[in-house]
Amino acid sequence: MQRAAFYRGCGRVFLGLVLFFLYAPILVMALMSFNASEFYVLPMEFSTKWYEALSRNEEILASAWRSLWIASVVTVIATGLGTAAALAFFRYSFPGKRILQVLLFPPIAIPWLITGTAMLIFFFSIGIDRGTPAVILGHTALALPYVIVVVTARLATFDRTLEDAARSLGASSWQVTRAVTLPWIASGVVAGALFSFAVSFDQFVISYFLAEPGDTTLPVIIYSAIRKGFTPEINAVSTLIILVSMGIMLLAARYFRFGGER
Amino acid sequence: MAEVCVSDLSLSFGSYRALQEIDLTFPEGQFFGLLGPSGSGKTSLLRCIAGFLFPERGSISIGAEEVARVPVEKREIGMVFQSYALFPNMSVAENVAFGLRVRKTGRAEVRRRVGEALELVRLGHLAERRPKQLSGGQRQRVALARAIVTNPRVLLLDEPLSALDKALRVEMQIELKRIQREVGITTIFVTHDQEEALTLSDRIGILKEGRLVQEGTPRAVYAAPRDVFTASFLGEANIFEGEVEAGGLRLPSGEVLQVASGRLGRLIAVRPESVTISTAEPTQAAGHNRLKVNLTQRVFSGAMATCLLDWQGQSLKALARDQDLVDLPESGEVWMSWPAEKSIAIAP
Repeated sequence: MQRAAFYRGCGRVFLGLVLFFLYAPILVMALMSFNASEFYVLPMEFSTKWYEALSRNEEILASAWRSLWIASVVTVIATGLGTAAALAFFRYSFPGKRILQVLLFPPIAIPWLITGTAMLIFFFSIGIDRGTPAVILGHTALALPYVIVVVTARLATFDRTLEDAARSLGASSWQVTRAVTLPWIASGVVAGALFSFAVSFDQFVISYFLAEPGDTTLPVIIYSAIRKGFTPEINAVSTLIILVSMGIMLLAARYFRFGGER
Repeated sequence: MAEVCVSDLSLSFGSYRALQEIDLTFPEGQFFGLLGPSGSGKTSLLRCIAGFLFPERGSISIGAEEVARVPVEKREIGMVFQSYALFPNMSVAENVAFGLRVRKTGRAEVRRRVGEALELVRLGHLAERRPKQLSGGQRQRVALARAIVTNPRVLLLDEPLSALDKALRVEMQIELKRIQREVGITTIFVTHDQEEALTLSDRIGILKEGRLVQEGTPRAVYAAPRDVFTASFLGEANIFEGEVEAGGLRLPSGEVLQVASGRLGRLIAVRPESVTISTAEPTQAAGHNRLKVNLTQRVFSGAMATCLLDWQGQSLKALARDQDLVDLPESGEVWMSWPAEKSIAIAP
């Protein structure tokens, strides 16, 4: 009994440490975004001046909007293509299917730095210039495997005879997909979309390589801002991003609980 | 409602020949049981008729229409699956309405016909439930209502009762038969349960290794199986092998088993319920067979009892009312006898 209590205690301490190192930096950053001092001087003096500065910082705002819409476009393309690909793998057998499925995994494991370099060289050699289209292409290629993996995992629990039953009732292939298959994999598709959005919105290396210098995404701007000299404006924009992404995550959790099956 | 006709149907999976030259007619409005052990091709045949599998040779017609190349969604069939395959994201009513919705049926008519179908299977009160809130028997009824609500030309049932426990299965058999009679739909039913096939079917077809072995009414096939496989697959049978001679079959041991006139073959089958077991020696008479056998065990099962017998190293079975066996010892030498007309001659 004593030993069990000891292990339970260890588990709690470990959990506490994990949570501390995950959330303490974020919390400190959020607090400092409201601190008047530029040099993190304590005691804290509440101020929203960094948010005001942020609202006047055209460079950060423009890159934030660019990041948002690039991530949205990538999400739509990657989720659509990825879901279709997962369905195709699930339904049909065709020559080379196994090879294709195996080829999907390495991009997840290959360091982004390598992928980014390879893409830069490749795009340059086939005449796709640096710029937003190149960034969207690169991000989509990175996000696609995630969607396929997540949707495929969901499809693994799908009872194929449901599709047979729908067809026997006269449903066309599209009607079967829409009425029977998609509702079942919806949670996987949503998860895949969130992954795509995160992969694109977070993406630094690929964007750094493929975007035009004056016309780049938020992570790249943050990176160069840190190099030039840190300002709490970055804390402010980071705090906003965290709020938005936590909001999305909570929405997703709520959707899985109440909207989907279970 | 339509007759279904299959002719010269062959299907292979790679080098495995799943169906070979099947010729079979499923009469309009009748309940047809396809029976066979696993791997016999009965499910493949059903899936060919449904349109999930396409035969490489032969034709399938529903009514006057040739459908061998028509995809399943265009065949106007109804099908009940072994797992029921109810859509988990839809209510009972939505499940039943599905086939009507994809046909763009008007809202009021959908409501009316779904109501009728659910009444037919006696589930009107559960229309708003989700499939997982239903019992196995209720799911079965929903699957059936969903399959017939579109007025299909033929109803296909793939081992629909095998997931139910025994008591429920018997109840659903009666229910299934009632509904089929009420709707009058041509029904094709796959099962490996011979009792179920005999109970439900107007006609049965026996399949073995991709071939149709025999077809007919359950009574006719049971009374006159054409081969040893059918004789022992459909019910139980004691098989004797010997040489044909005038009036019967000479066994290797020298006894002659009499067979009803006109029917001869190197094998005969005798149903366990056709024989009588007695301690007293039956009188030798024309038209009557008798063998001295060793009773090894009596298995009591309520009203009936099975006698396990040994005759010259061959195991035999006899089935009798338990009350007729009170004089019998638990084991030892007894006589087994049966009338000649109960010897079923089988051509090898």
